Amino acid sequence: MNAPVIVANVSRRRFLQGVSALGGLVLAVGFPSVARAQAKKYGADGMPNGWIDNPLAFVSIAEDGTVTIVCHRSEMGQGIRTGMPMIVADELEADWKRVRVAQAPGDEKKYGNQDTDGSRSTRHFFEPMRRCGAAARTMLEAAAAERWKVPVSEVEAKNHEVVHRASGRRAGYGSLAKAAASQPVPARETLRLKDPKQFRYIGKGQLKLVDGHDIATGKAQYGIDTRLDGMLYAVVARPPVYGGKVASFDPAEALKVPGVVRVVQIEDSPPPAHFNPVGGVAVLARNTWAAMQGRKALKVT
Amino acid sequence: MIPLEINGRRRNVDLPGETPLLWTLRDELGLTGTKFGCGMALCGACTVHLDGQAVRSCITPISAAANKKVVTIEAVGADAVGRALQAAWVDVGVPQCGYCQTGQIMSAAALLKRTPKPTDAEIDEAMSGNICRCGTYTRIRTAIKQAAAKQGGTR
Repeated sequence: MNAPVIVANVSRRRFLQGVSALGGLVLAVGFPSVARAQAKKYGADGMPNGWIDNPLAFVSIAEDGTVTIVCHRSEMGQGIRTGMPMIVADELEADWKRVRVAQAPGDEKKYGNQDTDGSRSTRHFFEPMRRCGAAARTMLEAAAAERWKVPVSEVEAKNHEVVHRASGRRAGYGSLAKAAASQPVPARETLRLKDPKQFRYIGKGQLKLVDGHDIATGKAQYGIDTRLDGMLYAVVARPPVYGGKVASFDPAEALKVPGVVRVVQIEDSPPPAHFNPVGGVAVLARNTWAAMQGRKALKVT
Repeated sequence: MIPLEINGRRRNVDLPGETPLLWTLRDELGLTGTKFGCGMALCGACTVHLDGQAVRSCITPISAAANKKVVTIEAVGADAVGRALQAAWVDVGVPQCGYCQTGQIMSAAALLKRTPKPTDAEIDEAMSGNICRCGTYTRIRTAIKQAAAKQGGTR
């Protein structure tokens, strides 16, 4: 990897903002855009902002051993919030019971492409995520070897700890996290990926959805569950045919519906609209039901 | 003001009586575990308990819920049946996307409370109004049986 990578202690504010709000994180980073010029060309290379395999963007380890893995793709029932972190955790030799998943904000410069469609997440990010996990594992091994003053070839990460075979010494990931953060991120071509026969989680069908409990208790947040302070709810009258335009509208009856606050026209996107919003007339109200009733009362021509 | 009792708590809401319970729960009271699916009582995503009966909150006006006990997914785990179902849902790994599952669990809880040892036919009948686009039906049945067994009821 040719680009300079700046590794820093996570207790610095910017890392807490960047990776997660958990306290005491010690493996995380702020880094300039990672060089990928020499990387092999496949998958996400064809997508805007491509892929990132820097472990410091995706993995952080707290001193209590909790591993936080960032999922940068959107969950929509395909289980990606379980799948992506599982790939990282497998290469990292992390104990899944001590893994937490953090959802990435939209930031493609930091995480690579986040356009979650086309069944691309696993196809495009399987290898980058494996490299993230393998790189973080390598940094933990290097930190342990340095502490014990032994060659790194004599130590091995296994199930959330690093072991020195000859002496039997072992150190948990939490105790190594701070020292690992000051290790250089290993060059991509030096990474040692697992033989698939050694996979702990990938392809085993053993792990539950990370969101299973939240789903079963009604705590899982779907898009429709977003709540902002003072927000209103809108129902939009769309043109009955594609490309249709609003000639005029009369909001008077809609505004008489209890709870309706405003009626506004939304500008159209000229065809082809692609993913841009089509226009219409929106009824804004204090709750969805009032907005629906207002929409019914609206007169649009 | 319409007096409601939601999950054991008194809530007076200042809304027209015809306002559906669904939108009152979600938009006015912040209980978003109850989901909007079809708005026409066809899919079951909005299922809640009204005096212990599973009802579709999207077509239940709050005037019809006044002075009755409403229980939603946020509180169904307060008793042993709800808790057993939620645990079974996680253990079996029922959800895929999960959007319909709170409604599924509410229907299943109403079933187990009136029929602690349901047969497959009774499960299918009780759950037939809850649609799952991911097609998790066989796992739902497995989880209901598992929860019933934990409650001491198996057939």
